[in-house]
Amino acid sequence: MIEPKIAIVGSGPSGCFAAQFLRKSLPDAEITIFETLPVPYGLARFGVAADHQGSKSVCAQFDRMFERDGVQFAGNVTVGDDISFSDLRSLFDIVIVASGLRNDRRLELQKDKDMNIVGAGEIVRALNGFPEIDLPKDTSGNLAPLGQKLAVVGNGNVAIDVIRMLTRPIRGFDGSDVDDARLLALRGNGIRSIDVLGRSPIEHAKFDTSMLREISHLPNVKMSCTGTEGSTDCKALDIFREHSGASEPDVEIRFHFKRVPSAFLKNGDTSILFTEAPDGAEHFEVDTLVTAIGFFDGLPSGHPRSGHSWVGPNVFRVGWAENGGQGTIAANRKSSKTVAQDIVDALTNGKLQIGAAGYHGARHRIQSDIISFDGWKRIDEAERANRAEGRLRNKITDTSEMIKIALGQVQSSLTKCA
Amino acid sequence: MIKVFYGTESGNSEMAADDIVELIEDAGGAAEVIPMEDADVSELSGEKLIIVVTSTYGDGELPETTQPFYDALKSDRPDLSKVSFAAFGLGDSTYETYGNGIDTVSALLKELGASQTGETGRHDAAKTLPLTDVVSTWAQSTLPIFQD
Repeated sequence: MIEPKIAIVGSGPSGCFAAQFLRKSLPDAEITIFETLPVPYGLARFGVAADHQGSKSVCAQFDRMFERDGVQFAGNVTVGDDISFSDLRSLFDIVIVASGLRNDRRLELQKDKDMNIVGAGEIVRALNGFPEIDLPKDTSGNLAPLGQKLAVVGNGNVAIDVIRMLTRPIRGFDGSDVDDARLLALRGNGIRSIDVLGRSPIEHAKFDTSMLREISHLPNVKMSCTGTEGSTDCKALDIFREHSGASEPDVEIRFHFKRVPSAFLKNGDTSILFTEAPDGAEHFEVDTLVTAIGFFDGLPSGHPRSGHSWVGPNVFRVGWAENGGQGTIAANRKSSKTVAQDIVDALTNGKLQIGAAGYHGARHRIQSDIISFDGWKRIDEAERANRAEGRLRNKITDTSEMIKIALGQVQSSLTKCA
Repeated sequence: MIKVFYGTESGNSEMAADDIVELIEDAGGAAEVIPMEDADVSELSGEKLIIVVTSTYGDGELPETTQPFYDALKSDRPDLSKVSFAAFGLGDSTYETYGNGIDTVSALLKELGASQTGETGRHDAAKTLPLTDVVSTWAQSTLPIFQD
């Protein structure tokens, strides 16, 4: 019987799937998932758009894993701060790095100082109630409106998520867990136009056509596209052809294919985005430029929390921490499955030593209050109890409040009114 | 032994299949979960009752693990005239192709002579009803073992 002690760093989908597959093959292994936040599920909670609850439904699998299958959640533990990675590596037989990618990749282009440039991932996280948000704020500390005219660089699914959430009528958020205060703050007096730039021709555009179709069905938008001359027939082109759009749209969404940004410059009080394409240069007046060109971990190599330096003979990597930010939850589930199988094979062949102290050796070294799965359930209950009409929950955005509720130190002010 | 075949992208269909097996076992029956990509379709002709569970992927396509099962049925064309099947589909009504996957698989099983027992169960991931509850309600109203 093989009973290794396994630590997984990160409780997003890739980490949880790895635990799930390992549990199936290794019923007696000790499996602990460490998470920086007091709450689990990473990208499933904060990166999947708040109005796409169907894609968040994988969390029900993970709930079951923590509740029934003896996988341990250790929240509020930042590897690199609360325990060093080298300690973790010596205290566990196997460490799986599943820390994902935290930050929007930055767009390299010529620009003036103090331009309004925000990351698409940051917007998605803000609307998902992520605790720390790196977006422009007004003098009273609230999120500043993005303005009336937006440009989005990149047209993958994260770009589409942002476009949809910033334009969809508020009633379309029924059954979601969107952070309403932040949504209204970002929208300000209303967004009127979004120009969406993508490098590829439409037939190779990054978005899933099902996502484009969803936007085309919004009742208050008018979609159009440029740069499609000479493109071969494809589903995306059909969607534009079939789209008639609102006659008096709130928002015009203009997709520009084969077009790339070249500079973002001030012109008096306005900002101009200069772009290039095979059919000529064009410029757009833009209040805020949203970048949606992928993710990176945002930490210098060698930083104690940078996953790049987390290596060793008993260290494995899954998900975006492994592949640099490629693929959907389903695609990364397959990679977790493969890595779990590699680990089982290595154990079976005696290629991995076992006998480390495991969680009980590690817990005394950890410098923070560890939040258990039961602690998370208390946060979960408080969030659900405090939900507004038409919302599934009201996410707590203050980490110290989460911790107090999880540790039972406060009767949450939220649960009292339930 | 009732075989429960599942095809999945994100693991939700696998969880539904696990639930169905558990429900059957709790009722005193015997069942096993088989991933569709590992299924041998030539053995299906001899089954009395099978259960198929699949989600829908992307713009209405079959999940990657359902596709080989579907393709094998399509090319081998086993005689399923003595087989009955129950069907459960997972989908997301955010997208208009919600639930296509199970209908595609069911239509092919019928074309090969199989007869469906009960209604197709459906779970909508965009709604808040837990999958486990929907599976349980469907199984108890559909599967013969719960009808006696």
